[in-house]
Amino acid sequence: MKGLLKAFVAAMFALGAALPASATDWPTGPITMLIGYKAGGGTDTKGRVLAKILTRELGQQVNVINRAGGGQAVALEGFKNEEPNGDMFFFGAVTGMTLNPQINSALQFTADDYVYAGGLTEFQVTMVAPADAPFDDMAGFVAYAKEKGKIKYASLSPGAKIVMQAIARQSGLEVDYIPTKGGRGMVQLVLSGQVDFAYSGGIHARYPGKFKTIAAVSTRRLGNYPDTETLVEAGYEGVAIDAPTVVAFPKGIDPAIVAKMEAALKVASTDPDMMKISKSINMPIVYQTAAEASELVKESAAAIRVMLDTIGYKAS
Amino acid sequence: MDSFLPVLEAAFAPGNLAWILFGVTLGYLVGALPGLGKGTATAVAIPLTFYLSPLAAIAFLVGIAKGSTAGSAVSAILLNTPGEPSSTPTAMAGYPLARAGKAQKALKMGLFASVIGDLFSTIVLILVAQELAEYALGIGPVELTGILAFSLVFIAGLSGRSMIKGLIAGLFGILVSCIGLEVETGSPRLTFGLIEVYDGLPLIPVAIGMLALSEMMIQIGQRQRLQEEADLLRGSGIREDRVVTLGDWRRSARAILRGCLIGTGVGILPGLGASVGSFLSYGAERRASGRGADFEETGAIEGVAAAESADNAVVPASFVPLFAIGIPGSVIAAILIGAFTIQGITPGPLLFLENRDLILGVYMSMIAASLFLLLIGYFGQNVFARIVRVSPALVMPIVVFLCCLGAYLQGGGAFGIGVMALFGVIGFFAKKYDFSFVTFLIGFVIGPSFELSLRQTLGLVTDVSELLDHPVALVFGVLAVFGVWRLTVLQRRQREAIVGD
Repeated sequence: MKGLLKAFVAAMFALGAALPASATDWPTGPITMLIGYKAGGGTDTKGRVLAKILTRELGQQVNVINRAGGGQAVALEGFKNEEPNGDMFFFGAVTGMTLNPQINSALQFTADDYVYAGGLTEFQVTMVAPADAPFDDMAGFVAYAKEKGKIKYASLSPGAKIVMQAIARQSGLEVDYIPTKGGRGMVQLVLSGQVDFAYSGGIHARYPGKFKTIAAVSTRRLGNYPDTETLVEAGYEGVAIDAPTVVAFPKGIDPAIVAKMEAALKVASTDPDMMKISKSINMPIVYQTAAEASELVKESAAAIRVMLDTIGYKAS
Repeated sequence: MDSFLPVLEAAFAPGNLAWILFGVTLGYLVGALPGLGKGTATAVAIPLTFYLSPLAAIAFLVGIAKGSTAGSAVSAILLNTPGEPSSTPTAMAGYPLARAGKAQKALKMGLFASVIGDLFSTIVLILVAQELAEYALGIGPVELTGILAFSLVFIAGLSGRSMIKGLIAGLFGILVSCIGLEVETGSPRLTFGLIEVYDGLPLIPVAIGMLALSEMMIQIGQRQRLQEEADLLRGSGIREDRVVTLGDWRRSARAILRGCLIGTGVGILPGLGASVGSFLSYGAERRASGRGADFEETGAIEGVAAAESADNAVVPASFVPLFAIGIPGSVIAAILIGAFTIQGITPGPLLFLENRDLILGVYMSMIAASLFLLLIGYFGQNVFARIVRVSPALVMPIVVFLCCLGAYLQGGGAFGIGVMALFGVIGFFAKKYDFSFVTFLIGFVIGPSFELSLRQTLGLVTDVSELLDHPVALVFGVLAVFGVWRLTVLQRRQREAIVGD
C-alpha cells in the first residue's frame, strides 16, 4: 500500500515536471513580493503600492512578505535559493546586493546571483548639513572642516561611514564618527545641532527648511536635486553609492518572465497612485529597463569595490 | 472657534467614529492574543488605511494602538503571557490574582487603569505637544545615556531576593542584546554565522520564551495541581472578587497617578520605549508598598494598576515628539510616520501650521478612542474571561500554539520559534533557580539603546568639562550612582541582619 502511494506521488511529480506552465502564461497563480525591511517603512510603503499595480497588470494576486534583517541581507540570502520560477520576486534598494556582500564576508550572495527586471525609483542619497551651516558645497565644507580642525559626522550605516572615510582621506579631514541607528537617529542629531555633517538616504527631505543638501552620493545627479553636484563632480573620483530600487529574480529565471515584469514596471512608473506615493515620500520615479538596471548594478558594485580598496576596508 | 466646529464635525462624523471603533476593537482582539502586540497590530493595518482620508486613517491606527496596548493585559493576567514586553509587570502582579480567583477584578482594574493612563496622556499631548517639543529636542544622546543608566540601576533594584543574581541576569540580558551587527561599522558580533540574528535576537520570541513558554513547561509538570487550581480560576462566587471595590480604588489611586506621570514622561522622551514606563511604574509601586516579593506571590491589584496606567500613558505621550519634531518616541509612533507619509503629510515643526485641522481632528479622535476603549474592554472582557473556564489540558496547547504563532510572526518565521524554544528552556531554569527573568529582559531591551547613546556620547563629548553643558544628564548620572550606593547599603544591612540572627 505504502509502495503504491509512493509510486503515485512520484508519478504526480513526474507529470508536474513534464508539463511546465508556459512562461508566457506567467503568472498562473498568486505570486509573492519579498521586501527586506519591516512593514511600514519607505520601501515597504512603496512596495505595497507597486504590489497593487502589479496585481492589476499581471492579472494575479501579488502578496507582500517582509523578511527584515541585516539591511536586506536576511531576505536576499534566502531569496538566492528560491526556485527561479517567478513565484517570488524581490523589491528593494540595490545596495542590498552591491554594498552589503562586499563589506560583510559572512554573506553568501553577490549581485551576480540575481536577474534584474528593471528599476522603478531611486533613494536620494546625499551628503547633508544643518540649514544654518556656513557652507553650500563640498569645497565650502572642506574649508570649514579644516578651519574647525575636527568635525562631527552622523554615520547612519556602514556605507555612510565608508563614503565619509573616502572623502576624509582625499581631503585630509579629521572626523568624529557618531554612530546612529537609521535615518531618524541622524535627523535628531542634525536637528539638535550635535553634528556638522551627515549622510542621508533621502529622509531629510521630510524636514523642509532644516537641512542643506551639499552633494549627491550617486554617480549621476539625483531626480530631486538636479542642481546639487555629485561627489564625483566635486572631485572625489569613484566615491559614489547608487541606490535605485529594483525588482529582481533569482538567477536562472526564464527571460520571458523578466520581460513581462519589465513591461508591468513600465506601466507602474506612470501610474497615478505610484506618482502620488513617490511625491509624498520624496523618492522620485526613475524607470530603468532590465538592461539598464543590470548595467547599473554591475557598475555600482565595481565602483564600491574600488572605494573600499582605496580606504583599505577589511570585510568583517 | 469658527474653525473648530468643522473639525469637531469631521472627528465625530459617523464614518470616522466607525473607523475608530473598528480600530479599537481590532486592536483589543489582537492585543489579547499572546505574543501579538501593538507593533504587529498597527504595522499589519497600515495597508488597510491607504484609501482612507488622512484623519480616518490616523484615527484608525491610533485606535488600534490604544486597543492593543490595553488588550495585551488580558493575556498577561489570564495566561501569564504578555502580548508584548511592556505588559510583563501586569503578568507578574496580575496572574497570581487570577489564580486566586480574582481574574475579573484584575482585568477590570487593568482596563480602568489603562483608560485613565491613556486619557491623562492624551490630554497632556493636547496641552503641551507644541511647547514640550522644544525641550524634547534638547534630549540628545548625552541626556539619554544618563537617563538609561539611571533606569538600569532602578530596575536592578527590582531583582528580587539576591542582588547578585539580579545583576547576573541583567548583564546576561545585555550580553544577549549585543548579538547582531555592530551599529557603526556593521561588523557581526556573536552571530556565529547566522544571518537571521544580524538585527539582534527578535525581542518578542525571546520574551515569549522566557515568560510564557517556560511557564507552560513548569505548569505541564504540575498538571494535577493545575486542574484543581482551574476550579479556583473559575472565579470565586464572592462578588468582591469580581468587581473593583472602593478599597481597591483606594489602594490603587496612588499607583495610577504615578503610572500616568511616569508613562507620560517616558513617552515624551524619544527612545525609551513602553517597557521602561511600565517597569518603572511597577517597580516604584512595589517599593512604595513595602510588600517586596509578596507582590508576585499573592498578586497585587495596585501592581496591575501601576503597570497598565503607565503602559497606556506611553502611547499618546510618544506622539509629542512625533507631532512636533517628527521624531518617534515609540514603535507605534515610528509606524505612524509611515501612515502620515502615505497621506502626504510630514510630521514635524510645520505640522501644526499646515495641518492644524488634521491634528485637532486627531486629538478629538484620540479622546473618542479612549472612551471606546472603556466600552470595548468592559464588554470584551467577559468574552475573553471565558478562556479561564476551559480545562488546562485544552488551554496549554492553545497557548503554546499562540506562542509559536507570535514567535513566527515577529521572529522571522521558523527561526523565531527556535529562539522562543531556546529561551523557554533558559527561562525554565531561571525560574527554577530564582534568577530574575525581569532584569534579564530589561537588560536585553535597554542594552542596545544604552550602548548606542553611550557611544554617541563618547564621540560628542570630547572633554569632561563639556559634560557641564548637559545638566539633565548629570542629574541622572548622579542619581544612578546614588541608587547603586543605596542598594548596596540596603543589601549589606539585610545580610548583617541575617548574620545577626
